[in-house]
Amino acid sequence: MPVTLKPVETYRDDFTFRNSAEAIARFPFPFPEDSYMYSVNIEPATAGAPGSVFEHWFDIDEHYRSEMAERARVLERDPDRCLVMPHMQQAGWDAVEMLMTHLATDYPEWFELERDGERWLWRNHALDLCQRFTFGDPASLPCEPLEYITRQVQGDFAMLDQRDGNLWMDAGMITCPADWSIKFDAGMSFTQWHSPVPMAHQLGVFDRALKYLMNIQVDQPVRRLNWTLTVNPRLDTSSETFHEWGGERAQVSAENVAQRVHLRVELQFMPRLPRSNALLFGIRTYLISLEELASNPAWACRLHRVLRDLPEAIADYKGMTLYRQTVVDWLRQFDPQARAA
Amino acid sequence: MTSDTASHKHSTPVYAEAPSPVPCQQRIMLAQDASHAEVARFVEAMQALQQPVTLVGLTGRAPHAVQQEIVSDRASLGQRLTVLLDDAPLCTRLHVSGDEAFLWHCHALAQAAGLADEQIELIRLGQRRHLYCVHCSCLQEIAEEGEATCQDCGVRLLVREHFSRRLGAYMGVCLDACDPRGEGRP
Repeated sequence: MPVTLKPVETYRDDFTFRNSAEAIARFPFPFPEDSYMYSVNIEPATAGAPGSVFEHWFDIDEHYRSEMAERARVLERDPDRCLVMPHMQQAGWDAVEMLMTHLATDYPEWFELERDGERWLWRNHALDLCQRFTFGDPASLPCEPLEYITRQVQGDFAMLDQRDGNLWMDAGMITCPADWSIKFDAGMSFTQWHSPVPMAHQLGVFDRALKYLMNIQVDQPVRRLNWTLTVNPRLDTSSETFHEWGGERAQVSAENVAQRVHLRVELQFMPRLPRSNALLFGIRTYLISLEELASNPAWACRLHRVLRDLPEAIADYKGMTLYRQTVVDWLRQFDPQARAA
Repeated sequence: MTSDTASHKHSTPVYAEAPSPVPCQQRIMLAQDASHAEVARFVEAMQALQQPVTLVGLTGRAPHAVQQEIVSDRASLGQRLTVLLDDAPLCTRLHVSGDEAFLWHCHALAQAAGLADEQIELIRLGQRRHLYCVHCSCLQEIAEEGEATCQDCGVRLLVREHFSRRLGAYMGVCLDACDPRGEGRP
């Protein structure tokens, strides 16, 4: 069934972003158990059920136009959120090919691609764009190839160069990160950019994950879910803008918690780029308010237990220490065991 | 010890305390201040390994007998390094001594000239380091303090133990988002 796109909503200022009942039903709830600990929760990204967020490699949903408008706003103010080091040019073209090919195949009502050798014609009906270009010739596009295509695809995209037994974040379009900065982390190895994460190093999670990721083969992508909480449906929770949004964590109260606190889930999707051998690291973010989430009481019950029992160091790293108790108190009503206690 | 081995789990680098006694055909030492006592100590240790040493200094002169030259500024240092590495035998080691910002500036030049990370040893001298304000991208010099005010945008910054080799700087992020510039909470 074709995806229906909503009119543009906002992820800032008046925060008009909302999920429809259909979007709630397909929300990637990330907890397989009642408790959470870091693990190498990477799995082969096999095609999921029709309509689910796992159906296609790159999920386009009802928020498409809003998210692309938000990305344009971030880039207008801070163009360096898209960064491509010179040796990542070929990877950029790899990404153009992969994204255009999959979008045109999976969403033919919105995207069309005609290829005649190196002469390509790209049509994006959702954003009313039409672009003729020569594949491999950067002068034939209005901007950097990675920027051109990722201005039209939901989610952040990092491109990781593979060399010297590590993965290096040498390019990316990062406008909706969960409290990190592409401008600071660019050029770092997988090990270096994860160094601020607590506990996981001791568990050996990153060493094993790195081995797994370096062995990804062409056409055998993998995926994992990651999560945090965000106050307000704000996509751009970057380090760059932390001084503008971090204060909202102090504004959560028993009265507004259900509307303002959002579960933020990242569907990370990692395919090998065939020519450059770089790894594309897609980070597709889904937001859902506690009120929307609680329309599924099983989710609310489980989230109550996860957040109540979450180790302090993880809660602190995820930035929820100030308001965690308020969230747990509100969620308790959905947990029959806790209510009975 | 190279800059990477001991700091495996961290982005913050660990620096060399003595030249690693590995076989090599030539050692090049770039010194921010060639007259520094630590530079002399390293050069002596290298000479004791019976390996040829070339010293290139930005300022100062080493007090003892070593093939040395002085360049006038960072730009000519980069050019000189490129020429030296072009002519260098395959098995060359580069040693860089100076403050942290100088070390990573030279590290980037050396990598651009084709040297591998394992061939570069960094010797940190002095407490000066660079802080990168993640909010406005301004770089400023600090010492060992854990907090600073951004010279450009005025946001009070926490100095995180998160280091970028590309920028040669630590990450500064807003200390109190409820009161970014320390003007009193609303």
